[in-house]
Amino acid sequence: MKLTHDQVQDLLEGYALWALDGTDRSAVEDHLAGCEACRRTVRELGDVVAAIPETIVERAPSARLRDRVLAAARADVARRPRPVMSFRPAWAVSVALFVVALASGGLALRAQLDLASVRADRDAYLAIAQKVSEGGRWWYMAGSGSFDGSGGTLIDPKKDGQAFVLFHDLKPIAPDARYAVWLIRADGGWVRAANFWPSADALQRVDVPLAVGDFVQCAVTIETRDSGSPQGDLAMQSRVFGQ
Amino acid sequence: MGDQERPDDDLLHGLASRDLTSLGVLYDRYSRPMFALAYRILGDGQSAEDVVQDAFLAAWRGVDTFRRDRGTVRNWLLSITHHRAVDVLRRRTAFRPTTLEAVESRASDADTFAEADRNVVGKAVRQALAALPTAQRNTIELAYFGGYTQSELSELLGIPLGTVKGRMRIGMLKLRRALESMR
Repeated sequence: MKLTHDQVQDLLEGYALWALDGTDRSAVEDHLAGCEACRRTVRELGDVVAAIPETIVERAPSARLRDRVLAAARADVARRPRPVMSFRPAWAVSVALFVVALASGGLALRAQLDLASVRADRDAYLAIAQKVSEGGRWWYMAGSGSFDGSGGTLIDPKKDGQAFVLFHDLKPIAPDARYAVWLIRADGGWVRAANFWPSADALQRVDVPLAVGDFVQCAVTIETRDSGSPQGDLAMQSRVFGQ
Repeated sequence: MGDQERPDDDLLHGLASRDLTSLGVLYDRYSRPMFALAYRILGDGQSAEDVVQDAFLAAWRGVDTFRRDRGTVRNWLLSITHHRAVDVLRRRTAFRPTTLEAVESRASDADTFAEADRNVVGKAVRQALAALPTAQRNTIELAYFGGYTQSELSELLGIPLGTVKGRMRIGMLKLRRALESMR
């Protein structure tokens, strides 16, 4: 469902109060991705909403909750170790192809020349992302589970360029499925930025036709529909952020 | 400087490096307002504790989603708590009040609207809310604390959806002005 600017403005108070149903919330988030005026209004309303819980008298939970929280976090560390990107030979090819991807992005020749001369190890890959973003931001998404080994870097150039994701080693998916790229807001809301199908290339560029500015993370899922909220398996999610 | 005096930003860096001590300090600092909010929304201690645990775990896993330019760590944690508590409440459709009378009865229970004079902000916000016309205040409180969507409020209150939106808009505008005048 796509809403007009006026329709969205009519919903912003409900959005800030978490008082919209899922369909309206998704539609508002889609609009917010490209509307700075509405994002500013939401921020202002957010300040008001943030003050409401100050009206409540604080109260202590049971003493055992602290231990439960720390135990859950400890278990989470054991279950989900911080991802460490390892050098993979495929990235040597990827870096070379990076230049090709950049050429269609209108980025500076200087960055392309820099890239061509860089070896593809882990640190170099991250350095590349920093250079390509040209002072902008970038996120690396690592594949997980059956998508282990895949990955992609969302690059949000500071100037003169549209955001895009450069994927490497994408896995084939079912014919009726597609990859969906999601941008994630600070409040946890997910906005679908693009759908795409994997090519057979080692590297694939996917443009992100949204303003990335207000988003803080990104992810990729496997979906059976072109629109709607995320329903499918999580293929990759950003862990490494650069600026 | 002891752990308890460490600034919030420093504690978030600790979370990012999987430091449990930092999480413990954040817990000591913010578990009380988080629990109070979850309890206010859900009405029982066990569910509220589950939500607080879930919220801390979400912060632990998603510390890189915090944006300093969007507000304080306290507000971030309370926002996570609010969203998760409301989501839990909405899954309990069978237990949610379906009449305005039932909602008003529930809302007046215990200490949920008791004094919040522990700090200047709490008192001022409470006064600003109290100064709103009843219809606007109810709409905002039912949405925020009761977890009702605008459409549900329209049905519950027996008023057009546009009226619900209008009450929310005007009420929030007045609150905003009141808060701005405090600063």
